[in-house]
Amino acid sequence: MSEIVLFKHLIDPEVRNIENYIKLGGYEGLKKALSMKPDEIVEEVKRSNLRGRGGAGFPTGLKWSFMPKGEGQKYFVCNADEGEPGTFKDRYIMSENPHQLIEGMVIGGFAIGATVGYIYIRGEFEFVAKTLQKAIDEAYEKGFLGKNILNSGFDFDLYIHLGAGAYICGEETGLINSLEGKTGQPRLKPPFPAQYGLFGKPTTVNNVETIACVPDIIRKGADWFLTIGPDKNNGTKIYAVSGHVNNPGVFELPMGTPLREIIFEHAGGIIGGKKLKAVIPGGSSAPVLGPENLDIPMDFDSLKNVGSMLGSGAIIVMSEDTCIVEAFTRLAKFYAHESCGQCTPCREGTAWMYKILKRIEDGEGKKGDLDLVLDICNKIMGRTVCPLGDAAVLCIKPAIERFREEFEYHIEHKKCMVENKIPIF
Amino acid sequence: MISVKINDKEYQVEEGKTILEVAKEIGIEIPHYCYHPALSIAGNCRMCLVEVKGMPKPMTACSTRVSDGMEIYTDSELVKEARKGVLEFILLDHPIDCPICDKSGECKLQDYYFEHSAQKSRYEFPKERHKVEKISKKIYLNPNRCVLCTRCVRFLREVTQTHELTTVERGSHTYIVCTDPESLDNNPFASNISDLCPVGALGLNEFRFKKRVWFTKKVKAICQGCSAGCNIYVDVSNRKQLLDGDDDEIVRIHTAENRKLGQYFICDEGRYSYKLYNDKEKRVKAPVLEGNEISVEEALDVLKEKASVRKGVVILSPLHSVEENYAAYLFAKERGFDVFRPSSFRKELPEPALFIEEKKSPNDRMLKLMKLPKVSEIEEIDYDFALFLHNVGKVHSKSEVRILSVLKRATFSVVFEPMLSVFGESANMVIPAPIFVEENGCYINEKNFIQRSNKALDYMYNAKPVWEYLGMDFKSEEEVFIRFAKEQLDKDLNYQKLGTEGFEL
Amino acid sequence: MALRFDETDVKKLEEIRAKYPNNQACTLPFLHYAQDKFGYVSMDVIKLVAQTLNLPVSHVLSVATFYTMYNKKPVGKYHLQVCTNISCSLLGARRLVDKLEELLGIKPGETTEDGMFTLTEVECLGSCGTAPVIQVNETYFENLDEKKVEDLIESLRKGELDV
Repeated sequence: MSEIVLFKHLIDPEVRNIENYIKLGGYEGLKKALSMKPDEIVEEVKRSNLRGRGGAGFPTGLKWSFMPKGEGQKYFVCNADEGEPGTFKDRYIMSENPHQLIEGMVIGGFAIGATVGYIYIRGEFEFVAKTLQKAIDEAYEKGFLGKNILNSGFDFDLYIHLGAGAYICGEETGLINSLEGKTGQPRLKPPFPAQYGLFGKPTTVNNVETIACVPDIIRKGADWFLTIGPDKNNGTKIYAVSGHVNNPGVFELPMGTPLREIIFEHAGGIIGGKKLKAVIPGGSSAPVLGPENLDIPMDFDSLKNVGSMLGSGAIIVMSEDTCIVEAFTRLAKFYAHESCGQCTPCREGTAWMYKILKRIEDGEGKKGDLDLVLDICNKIMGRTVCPLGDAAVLCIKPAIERFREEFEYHIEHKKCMVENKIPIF
Repeated sequence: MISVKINDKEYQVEEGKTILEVAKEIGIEIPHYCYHPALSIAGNCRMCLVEVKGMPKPMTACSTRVSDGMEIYTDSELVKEARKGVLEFILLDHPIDCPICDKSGECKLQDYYFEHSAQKSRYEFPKERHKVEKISKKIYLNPNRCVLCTRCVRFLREVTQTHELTTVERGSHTYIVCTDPESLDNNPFASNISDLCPVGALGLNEFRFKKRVWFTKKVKAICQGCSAGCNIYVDVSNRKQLLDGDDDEIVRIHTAENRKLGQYFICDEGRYSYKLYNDKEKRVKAPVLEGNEISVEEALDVLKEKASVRKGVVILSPLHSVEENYAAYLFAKERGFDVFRPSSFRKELPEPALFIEEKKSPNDRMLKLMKLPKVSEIEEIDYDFALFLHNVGKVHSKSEVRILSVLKRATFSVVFEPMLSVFGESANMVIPAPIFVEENGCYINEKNFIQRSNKALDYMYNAKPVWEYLGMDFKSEEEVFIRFAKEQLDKDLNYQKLGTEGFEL
Repeated sequence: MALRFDETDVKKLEEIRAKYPNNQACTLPFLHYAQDKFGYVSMDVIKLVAQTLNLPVSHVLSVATFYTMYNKKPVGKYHLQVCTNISCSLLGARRLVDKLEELLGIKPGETTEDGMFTLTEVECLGSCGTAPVIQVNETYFENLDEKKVEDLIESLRKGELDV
């Protein structure tokens, strides 16, 4: 069986209770970290090749090293907004193994010099937040949070902050603005959060899964982490599989597990034994792939090499019963709905793209509509304040390019190409 | 100083400035909506995207600071295409109201569209529509025309800190609302948001449907309202384009900037003060002697005769320009007359006050600078000749009392003013003065900044500069100014050297 | 009728305030709190939160209208939020919405006349592995199908479930 780094509840289903977590080696990483120098912790995380598991895959140690040294308030923020369609992994870490996240927060706070941490949880996950808060309370009681943690002289307070329904708050500066009590409109970068972040102070924002990897990296060492997964793409990954599979769910597997294995072995293969038509490998903002890509190792670099991305590692499987036009029109609607409205190309472009695709889906598409959508994509890509506009393009453009025939069928014949399609609209 | 390349030409520029600022200084206009020098950088319109060598995507010029060796392109194919893209996106939901929109002719959307796009719209869906709101007694908001640059929101949040406007909702459903019309009514700077708005979304009621801007002539002047000396544009009816029945008058006043002074806005009181100057009923239409109108030639003779005395006094005016005041001063000095200055009328400052000054006259500083004695120091003597310069506006009430007394007790008193006031009524003679837009004039503001106001209208009725009525030898305002600069400032100045932004003394 | 926070509320709000270094950061949690107390975020609620935090009304209004979880209109006793994003749709969310329309006689965005149910279509709820999913008030109901939805409505009508 593969290494378990995060899903400790598969070893002990009650690991959310602090005593059980400690029995499995919990908070040993913290003890070790507090005996190290912050710089050393950053180096160790760098060495481990840990990369962000929220979507961007940015090297975590490098991100931590951007924080300024010296006195002054700093913040460590956990991004638990989990809004990327298809993604449902962080909630299980928080509800099943919350202490590992908490331990990661304290270690990270110590490493970057932050004495306050916030966990920004999407508002709909209030029930998850309740479990997490219980664990935080336990950690305070046992002295793993609060003043002078384990007599190290290090203070760290950890708070939960609930969002209120906005996918854009998953973008780090949108999240920071939301934490500050404003609308979740992202900021211009530069300055980057490490220079000017939460409340104007140096801040690091990391995803839940990323932070939860840290305790074991410190406890067992970066060398251990390097034994898992391919080079520069190390550790395990929680793959969240949904859509037309028999056994949807979350699977912690070594980074680089082939897509075929994930879909057909762990997720039980396609419902009804149908053929695979399309698969989105990393959350809706990852370019869609097809059956010819099934042998791809699911890691950052391999997916980048085929023009897609690992993103959040959320795998959405679509069988032959899927009307691609409907599916991606629905995703276009999502981006239009979630655009914060700040900058012109995303605000207007995502809404326009959706309207055109809906028209095609409704059977009223016109000749030239597809080229128009592709042109709009080009006018959004790289021209926006934040990556949401780019995400919409990365979702829609590859789908049109790969399944152009199906879109054109809709336009010409004013109906769907798929016989037994599952209605979406 | 660092070196950058813009469109393949090398320039030495100041480090730390943004590409947009640097380009403007060089004379390259990069189109933009959301950027404004007095507001925080928003970077949301994306109109100012430029290409920077080595960067994977275009950068916003308003927020990107120049660095040594940066190579910037403001007119590459990519930049041109990016601008077209942004304009098309803005126009998706924008009502083509040009025929009925006040902003037409000075609208950044119109201007940029014709300059950078002129592309047919490919949008074929219904447009989202909101009601036009009267958000204060003076301002209306048409949310449909709004391009969401958020300049208005940021102005009210950062400058006046009164927070009356905000965006609501999100995505393409975002629009602007006013949560406090009453506050906006009482906001002394509210109308600036109409100048700030690059399109016709925020308009002033007093200008609505009044006149097309191409039927006006725009002239840079100095506001006469207080000693802040804000730069303004005075729009006057354009003689060349007048329609039948049109009159010479000030159509409106709006903001002009003076970056040296750091002035980007004007107050509402100054903005709407133009109405005072348009009151033709009140204008002194001809010289008046003992209540009877006389001709200009007669007036010149009378003045010449009455001024040939020993005991005379000239009381200058903080409401008049450097040129008018200095000419009258020289007139007094030639004859050995006394010269005094009134104190300015003061008014309590509003909340917030920002740059508004208490002294309600534009040129108080000049008279102070010349160290002239105040009218309160006038002794109880009866002069044989008294000349008082007055203008639209007021002087301090104490000064008023003294001046009236001097005028009444003098053997012969003359008041030089554009509109009949209590001073003119107390004097033997009234001679018609120009209003500020009828002449070139310089003013020194409270911060010792000397600036020039430009002539926008012909002299109306028989208004002439005071030196013409006094029979002095000056041929133009500039001549007086040059002499003032030499004698009082010890500087070799003329209008051209003064420049369009003036300078601090 | 002006709304206000009573002593118990003030205590709880102070606890929230203690987590942040300034008042503005409390905007989202205070709006959540106020929505729980007053049922939905009306203009009066917005004004109350603004007043309590000494913030401009315009700020609180822009925040309240930006986020989808703040209901600007009253919602029924049970707010049925059906995810119709990609994974739930692939597994039949549309049929569930149709079923609910049939069972309740309302369309998405509407509330039943007896004030019991409000039906809304929402974006991804982060529960794609157990799709299709409906969030009723604060609780997720997962792995649904048309029959289970019928049972769910029944149970809710009978008041058997605590959401």
